[in-house]
Amino acid sequence: MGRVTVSILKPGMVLSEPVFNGYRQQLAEASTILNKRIITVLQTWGVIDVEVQEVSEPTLQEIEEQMSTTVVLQQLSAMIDDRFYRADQHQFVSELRRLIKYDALQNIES
Amino acid sequence: MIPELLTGEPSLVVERIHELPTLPDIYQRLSSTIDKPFSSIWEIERIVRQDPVITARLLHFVNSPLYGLSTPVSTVADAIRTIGYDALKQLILTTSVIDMFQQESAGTLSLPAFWKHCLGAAAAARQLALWIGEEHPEEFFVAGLLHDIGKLIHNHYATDKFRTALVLAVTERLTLETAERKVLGFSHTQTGGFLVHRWGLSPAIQRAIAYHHSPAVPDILSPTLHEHVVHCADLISIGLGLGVSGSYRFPPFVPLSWEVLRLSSGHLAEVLSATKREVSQFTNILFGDYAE
Repeated sequence: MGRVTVSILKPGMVLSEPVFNGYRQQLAEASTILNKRIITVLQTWGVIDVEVQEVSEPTLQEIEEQMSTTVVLQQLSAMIDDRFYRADQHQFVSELRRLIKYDALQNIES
Repeated sequence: MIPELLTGEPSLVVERIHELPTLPDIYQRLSSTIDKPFSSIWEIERIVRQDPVITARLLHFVNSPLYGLSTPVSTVADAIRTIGYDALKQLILTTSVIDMFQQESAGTLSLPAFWKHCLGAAAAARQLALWIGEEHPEEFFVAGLLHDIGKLIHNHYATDKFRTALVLAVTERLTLETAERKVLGFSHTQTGGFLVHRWGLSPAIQRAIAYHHSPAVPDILSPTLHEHVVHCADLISIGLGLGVSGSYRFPPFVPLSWEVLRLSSGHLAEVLSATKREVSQFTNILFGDYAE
């Protein structure tokens, strides 16, 4: 995946390089699997971006399958689908819908 | 009483409205002073300090997380030096326009939902502009915030017709733009474009508002990317569920914008994340109660 800003880090991502603060103190070593606590530590120390390993993001279909497992998730998925009523199938629109659903799913799960 | 607007091209419609809002005096004085070749910061500071609400907003803006200053700024002059003249002009323009329509009571449009949608588009437009390396992201913010200003004009000056268009959009599952063309003969994009032209805003902002649903190929006469950025930003705001746009169906996407802006999926994730974060920050700054 390469270098990404801390603002889009999500639990489960894996660091490919160690991260240091401004005093050259190591905050996390390479191959660390990120969780919410570690992400918060990085944000608190003002880390701007980090190197993460390639992460295969779930497809829209996989996300929708996960969102069909509970009533709350089904309603959330339907609410998002309503916003995209008769939307074009262009990559931009499809990716927009996927990212929004993925974010909603992760927020509920966390 | 303002006569109901039944037909006509938008320019005739807008010219017929004798009470069309004009930009407040403070913005006009500030704009002309900044545009002078040898204006001093003290002249500009003097203008800003004449309005305590704008002064408070400026200080709140510069001390917000958007600028991430380690030491708070407490004087107007320092605030102006920090954000720069362009950002100052855009801040006063946006707050002036919002204040202008805050007392809107006629019509069907829900102002809080309307402005939330516009603020979402503004924040997304600013983020998109930053990603593509534009030098003046504040101008894109203004274009995003004002992109649907034509709806406010229709809501106030063509209340019944606009209400009919809103209902038509829902019952026949149309975009609001399509419904407006059926009922009024023209859409909010045309009205908005004429309004900001009358306000003397930049051609880039005029085009962004007039063509945000149908951006064209950049050419030598209109080389800027504002309309493409606002086109994408509008859809991002709708997709994120920020406020209400008035359209029942998701507006058509013009693929040219994806090619012109050269976005990627990674970029889009960052833009969405930053947009959500900044909407709440800008809401506090632009809609906070600063009245004494």
